Amino acid sequence: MAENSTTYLETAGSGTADSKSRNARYSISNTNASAFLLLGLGAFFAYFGLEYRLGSLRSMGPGMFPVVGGMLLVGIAFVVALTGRKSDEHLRSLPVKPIVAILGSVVAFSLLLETLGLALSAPLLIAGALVASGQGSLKTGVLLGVPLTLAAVLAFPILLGVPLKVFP
Amino acid sequence: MWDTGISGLLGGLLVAVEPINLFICFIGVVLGTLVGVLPGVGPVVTISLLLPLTFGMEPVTALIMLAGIYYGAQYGGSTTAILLKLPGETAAVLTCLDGNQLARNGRAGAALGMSAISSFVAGTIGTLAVVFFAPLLVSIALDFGPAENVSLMLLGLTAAVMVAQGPSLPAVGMLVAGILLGTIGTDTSTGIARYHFGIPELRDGVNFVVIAMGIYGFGEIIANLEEGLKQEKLPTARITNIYPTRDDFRRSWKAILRGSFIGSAVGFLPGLGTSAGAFAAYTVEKKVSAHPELFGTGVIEGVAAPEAANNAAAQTNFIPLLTLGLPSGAIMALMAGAMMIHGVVPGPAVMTTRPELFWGLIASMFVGNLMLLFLNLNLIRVWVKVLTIPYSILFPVIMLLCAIGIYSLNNSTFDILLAAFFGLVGYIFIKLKLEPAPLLMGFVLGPMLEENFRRTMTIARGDLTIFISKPISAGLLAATALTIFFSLVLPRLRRTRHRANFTNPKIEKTNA
Repeated sequence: MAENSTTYLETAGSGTADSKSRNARYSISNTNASAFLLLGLGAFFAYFGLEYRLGSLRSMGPGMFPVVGGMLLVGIAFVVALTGRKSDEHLRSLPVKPIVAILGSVVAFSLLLETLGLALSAPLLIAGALVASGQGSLKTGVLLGVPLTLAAVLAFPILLGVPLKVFP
Repeated sequence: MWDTGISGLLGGLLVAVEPINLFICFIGVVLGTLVGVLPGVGPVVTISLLLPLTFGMEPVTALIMLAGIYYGAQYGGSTTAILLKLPGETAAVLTCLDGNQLARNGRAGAALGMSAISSFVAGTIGTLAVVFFAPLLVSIALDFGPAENVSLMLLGLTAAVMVAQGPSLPAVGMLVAGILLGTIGTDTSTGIARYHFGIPELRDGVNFVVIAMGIYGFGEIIANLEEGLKQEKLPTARITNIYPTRDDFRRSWKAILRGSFIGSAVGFLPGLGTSAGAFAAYTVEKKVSAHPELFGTGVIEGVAAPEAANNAAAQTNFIPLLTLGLPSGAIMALMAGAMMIHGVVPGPAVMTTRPELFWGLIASMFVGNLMLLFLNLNLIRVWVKVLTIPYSILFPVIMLLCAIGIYSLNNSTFDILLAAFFGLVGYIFIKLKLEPAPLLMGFVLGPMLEENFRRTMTIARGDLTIFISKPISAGLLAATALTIFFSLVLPRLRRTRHRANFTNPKIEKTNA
């Protein structure tokens, strides 16, 4: 799945956020992109499922169900690609900033949470979110980040007893 | 004692009015109204967020809260629709048409009041439908064996996909993809961990909350940010009188009743959620009206009918889940997951083995609807204030809550990483207009489907014809074939849905 979504990103990952512009070189139709996505996922499960015993219909092993399912999905993906309308909408560009800032700050949060603690990683997440929106200033960052972090610390580790480290 | 709807319901009422359940139900419907009012926040994310908090509760209490969020959101969605012409919740699309016109004509209060009252009447009628039809279905499904279960799941999943989206092959693909994702983790029959790639956290499988929050939380945030943060202007008209006039009631009561029955019937069918009910009711109302040309210019029936239908459907949506164990959409898939987390396998056995849970949940819907009527008639000014919260403040809050909420599922930072990955995948789904609901349904039902299939094959010694040699199973498969056939020959349904979606492009993303 991961490998597939990266190929997809490479195909469509350039250009401006303006989806109206027709950039034929980097565009892929929605139908084909969907087919690629499903194909990648199906192939993934069918291939790696071969590691597990297939068994027979009478006594199915752990591999049978996902391998057959994966092959079915590959088949569906081919039919989607062959029968889908090619004239439908095309994907031309992906907004790099929100994707990187939102997912990046979530990833950073998950990596730092257990070392830095909630009190420091929460403001980082909020900062990342504000960067993604393109509207964040230092002032909104502080006005939003400080009370939100305080509320989160108060709510989760203290009130609800979620075992979370608060400080480094 | 529990064998008829009424006595069951009375027993359930005793559970529902326990102080803790009343309190939790209240929290649920307040939260539901809140997320219904806010356009960028849906019930799927909210239910996923609150699920970890219910771990310590009694199962019935947990389900009462999560259900309250769902039907409460239907009430709140109309407020945004009427005041901003934006559906706060998917099903409120049709309320935008006449509701917003009424607001522009200075009758916002009447529209809001009518929507609350018709929602209440419809919610109550919908719950009554659950009371009477659920035991009936349970009695049919109770002696299903594994073969019948497989056929039933196939029927439910096919219907959910086909009926909701027309004959859409990519949607079937999403369903299979969900079933495949459900095979990650330890195989229950052999104890072998599949697709874990040495990552210990994956041995237990992927939590459905991680997928739901990734797709509906992070994925949607990215999509919303891409569209740009537009600050919606509230209409300046003051809401003076929330109660509709006697004339409004004279014109609407039939619309409310028709909407309630249409909504109840539509909500009961898998895949046809609340928005299909609202659409059908609005169309019918326009057809039977003496002045169909006035629809869209601000007629009160145009608010009453779709609001009744979506609330009735929100209640009857629970029937397939509670009786057959079949979730009919993303939210019901979450409810199914919530039941499993609390050790309750959704299916026909729930009514007999856990009557306090089954009837307590249903009875709480009456109580919850009463609370919602009060909340929406008396606190409307609060909800209007909520509307002024800009998305640029809202989404960092959602992000933080999602991240901490995911962590608290298993105290695992790996789950947050996984959710970020599903956020990317979910965003791509939105861009490709791939509906994520079938994936979630497949994910939740997949393990049950595999288990029942394997059991059937063991019993039948690998003979696949067992599915058509057993009469009930054959009947269910025939119904599956018919569903596929009708969804192919009835493209009309598909076109009307497209038109409904066209009214507001936001619906496609928030469709649950």
